[in-house]
Amino acid sequence: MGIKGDSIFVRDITREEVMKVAKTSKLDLQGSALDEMLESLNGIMPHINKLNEVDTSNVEPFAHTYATILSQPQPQSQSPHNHQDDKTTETPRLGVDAMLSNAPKSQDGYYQVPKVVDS
Amino acid sequence: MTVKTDYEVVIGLEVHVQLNTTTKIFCGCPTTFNSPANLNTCPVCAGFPGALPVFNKDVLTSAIKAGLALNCSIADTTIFARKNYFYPDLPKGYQISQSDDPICIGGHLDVEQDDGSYKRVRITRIHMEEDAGKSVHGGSTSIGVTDGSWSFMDYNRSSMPLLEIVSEPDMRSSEEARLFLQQLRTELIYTGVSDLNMEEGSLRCDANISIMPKGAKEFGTRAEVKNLNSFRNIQKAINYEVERQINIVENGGEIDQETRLYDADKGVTFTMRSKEEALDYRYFADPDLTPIAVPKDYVDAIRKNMPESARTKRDRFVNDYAINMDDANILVSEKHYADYFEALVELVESPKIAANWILSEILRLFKDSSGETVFDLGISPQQLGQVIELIGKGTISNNIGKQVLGLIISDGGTVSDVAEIVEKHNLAQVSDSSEVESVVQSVFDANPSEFERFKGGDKKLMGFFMGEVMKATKGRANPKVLSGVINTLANKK
Amino acid sequence: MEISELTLLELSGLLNSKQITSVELLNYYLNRVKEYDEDVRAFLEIDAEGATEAAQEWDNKRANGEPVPPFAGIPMAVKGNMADTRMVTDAASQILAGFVSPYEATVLKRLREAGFILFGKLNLDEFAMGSSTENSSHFTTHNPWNLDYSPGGSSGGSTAAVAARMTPFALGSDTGGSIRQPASFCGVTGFKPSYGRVSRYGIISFASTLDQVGPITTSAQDAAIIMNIIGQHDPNDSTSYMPDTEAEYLQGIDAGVEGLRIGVPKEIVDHLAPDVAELFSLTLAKLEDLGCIVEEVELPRLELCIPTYYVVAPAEAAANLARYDGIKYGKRYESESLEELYLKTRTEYLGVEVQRRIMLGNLALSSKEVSGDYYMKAQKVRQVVRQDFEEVFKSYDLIVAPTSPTSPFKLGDKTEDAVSMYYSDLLTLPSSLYGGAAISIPAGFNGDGLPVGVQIMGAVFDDATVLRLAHAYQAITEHHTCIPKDFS
Repeated sequence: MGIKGDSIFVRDITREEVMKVAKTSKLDLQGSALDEMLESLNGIMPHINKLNEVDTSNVEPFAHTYATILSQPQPQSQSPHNHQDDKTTETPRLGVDAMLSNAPKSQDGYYQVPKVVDS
Repeated sequence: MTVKTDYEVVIGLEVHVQLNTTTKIFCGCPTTFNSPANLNTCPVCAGFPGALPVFNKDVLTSAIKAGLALNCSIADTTIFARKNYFYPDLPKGYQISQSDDPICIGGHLDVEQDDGSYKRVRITRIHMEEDAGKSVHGGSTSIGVTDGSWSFMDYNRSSMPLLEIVSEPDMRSSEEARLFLQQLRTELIYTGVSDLNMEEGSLRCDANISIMPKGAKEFGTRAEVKNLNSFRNIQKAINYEVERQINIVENGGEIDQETRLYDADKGVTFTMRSKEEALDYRYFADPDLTPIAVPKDYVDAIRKNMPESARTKRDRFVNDYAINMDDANILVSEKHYADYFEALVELVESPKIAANWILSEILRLFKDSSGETVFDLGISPQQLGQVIELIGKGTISNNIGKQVLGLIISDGGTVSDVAEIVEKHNLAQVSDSSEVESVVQSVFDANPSEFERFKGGDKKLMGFFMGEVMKATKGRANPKVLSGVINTLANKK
Repeated sequence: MEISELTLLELSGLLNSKQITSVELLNYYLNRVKEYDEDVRAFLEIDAEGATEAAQEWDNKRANGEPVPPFAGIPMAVKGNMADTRMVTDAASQILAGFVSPYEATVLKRLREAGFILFGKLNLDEFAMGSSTENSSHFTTHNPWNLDYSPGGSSGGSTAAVAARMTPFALGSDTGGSIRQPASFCGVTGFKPSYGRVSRYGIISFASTLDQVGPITTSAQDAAIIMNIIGQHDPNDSTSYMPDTEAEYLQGIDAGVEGLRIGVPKEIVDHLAPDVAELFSLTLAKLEDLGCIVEEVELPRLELCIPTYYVVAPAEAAANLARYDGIKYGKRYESESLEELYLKTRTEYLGVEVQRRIMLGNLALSSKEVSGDYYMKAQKVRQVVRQDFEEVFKSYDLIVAPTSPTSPFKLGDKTEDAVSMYYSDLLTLPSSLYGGAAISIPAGFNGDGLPVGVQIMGAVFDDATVLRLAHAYQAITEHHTCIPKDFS
């Protein structure tokens, strides 16, 4: 079903939906963990429905605290935000050893994972 | 297979272009190719806790150039969005891309067909995004890892700047798709934003393909085919996919909306992800990056400095230099060809002769070389200009001229003056008849029976004697002088 | 006078006049940690060796008469979600167990260059998600004012350490109140700068449009001193604000507050516990004593901050936490299948509250087609909330309210009910959502001897006025100088 204007449609979530979102989130929720998640999410959802109390059809979404000042690709001094110049003089590279020092498994400068099957 | 219905093929392309900026799109890591694994990485492009992206503004300039080259409108405000999915080559668990507010919208490319007519393919949008890293799968010997149960992640490519160019589904055959991509490539090469090299992966393409009965209004269900890595493969993959879809429909089946991969070795497409497995990317504005305002004068400044497009250049070659259309098309097909031609044409009298030398000799030598551009051959336009000039003056022959090109390369730049090379290797044409006479005489003396037949009227032997003299002079005898001398000497006796 | 009672300026004076060395000062605090932290459990890790080395260096420089920065040699401790390169930065999550960052957060670099010496990392709710520090994967931190009580959260380790004077000051991070609420519970000063004032580079992200680092100190003046160092533009953070001139927080802090117009949201009354309401009215009276004009203002949509926050923050968090996949760093569940590696790593090593917020966030982001765009809707309501506050700030310089509707709660009291825990953030969420500066300062003690804080909120980038009023209040009150009796 479609949603009118910019209001949202909040209702109780089903077990199947929770399982689907868990899969998207790469979380393995089963049994009681799934039940508890379902219950606590359904405890929160009615509160989210309150967002519909405000008509926001002519409101720009809040993107940033000072989104009215957009960052511009102008000389840096005139920009309220950062843009980095190409050809940075100082490389942020830390070296392969530093980058891999926390890797659970690595070999020959690569991060190592169980074989990726699908491509 | 006998097909009951006539089908129309509907194709839209998504083209990925890797930009040639010096540093990555959101960090200062270099974009160099072929570095040791994970050398060109930092906390930002490897997705470390707490690291944040900062936008490389040259990427914006490149995106605008590409957009202008493809007749797009440039957005006033453009926003980066997160495209969320898990994959080991995606270190943050999301790709920074664009969704609702891409940098360029609504352009087109008029694609020239083989019969010289044009077909307009609309461009839906162009957006900026970061590339993913590279996976190397175990068992491959390239990294010395033979254990096939692992994959190995290299984030050097992670966060390399990309443009994704999305076309409308306006193409109706694999041929049209190939022409579109080739001409898109040519147009973009002139903007200088990318190397656009399919083998190196700086130009990549996915195709959305569907079929429908001829004349139908509604498109069929489309399949997305990924991993098309050469112009040839694009056409082959589309042809295979079209046949596959027709087969299904003819047998009463339905096309699944799915993502497929092309296997170039087997020449087939196969399912990568079914519709049920389709990822929910959960796009939302990237909160680590601010919306970017694109002032009109910024775009205007880029527009003013846009280099001449391939097509304008081609037409100029045809109109100003009287180069024929086919030759002009080849000359502009790579920017460095055109640059070489334009340098050469300034130096010689006949643009036509300049074009011929490039199209025949220079391109032949280039194709056998390992250089990236024709300038890497080691024959400068100035040197080729000198060769053409020496031929024009009769100092050397056409054939010797070709030989001289080889010598310029083998001399490896130690002697740059062409006249000096000609002199050093004693290649100047011998036009002095007394000098030629002595050689002709010795050839006559060495072949008495042929000489008698020639004298007796067998004029076909002219070619034989010319060849022998050329052999003896290593091709240096002026052919016009030579034939006169042969006739005169033969008649004398 | 006891060292633990001194301000940063006073400590700097002692060091620069060589009445004390940096090594002695560091040892003083290391000893306090040794003595008290067994009970409070604020510290996750101590780097005595590295800190001593740094202290020795400053001492040598001072002894040799070399120029040193004014605060050189003062020790500090920071929340465990800030990247330094010597200690573990795990955000109190098992999924980052043992992670030592290869790079340093901008705020820590700035403070180190200004001479401060990092000697410890402090406890927090996992990934800063929580209001009690009970969501830490390591252990629970206790409130120094009464060890049975929660120090608040998520920067509970930071505020408890400052309350027990185990460090002269600390850094915390605030997403929906994570500096201010625990500051209120622990009777210390906690400042959340305007969004964009302090670099987030190197702070483990929770919700990118809300996260902000700030100082936790024993006075507003100390907070201003730290802000002068960390509250500057950073080219490594695209959301870092770039003012025309260097930002200044300390200058003018003494200028007085007479005539300042203070708004008090009328909607908060119903939500306040009696002890909080009573101390709050005393605070308002003090503000009037200072010459402020205190008036009631209307913010009818205040309560909408809660659903707005509980869509925006989890959605951003769900994406921010996707990088914890067991591949590049941290802990991983080994498996021959990549899918199982992902699932088990994230399910086993992320805590329940973190998983709940990831689920909520992804639910909000993925509902678009059937249920509308929750995230977009929330960001629009957030815009409306901001407009409401901007309207108030047209007529008022500052808004004042309690920091938390309740005084500190006992450990274990609220963890059962996620929703009521969320509601305890009601008064801290607004300034996080509209992006303005806010400070929590001690406003007195309830009948149980537990501290209660008051919050001063300012317009976006008006950090200086917030600090000025806090300083003026502290000039005529002594709550902020109180130290829990077992720790004095």
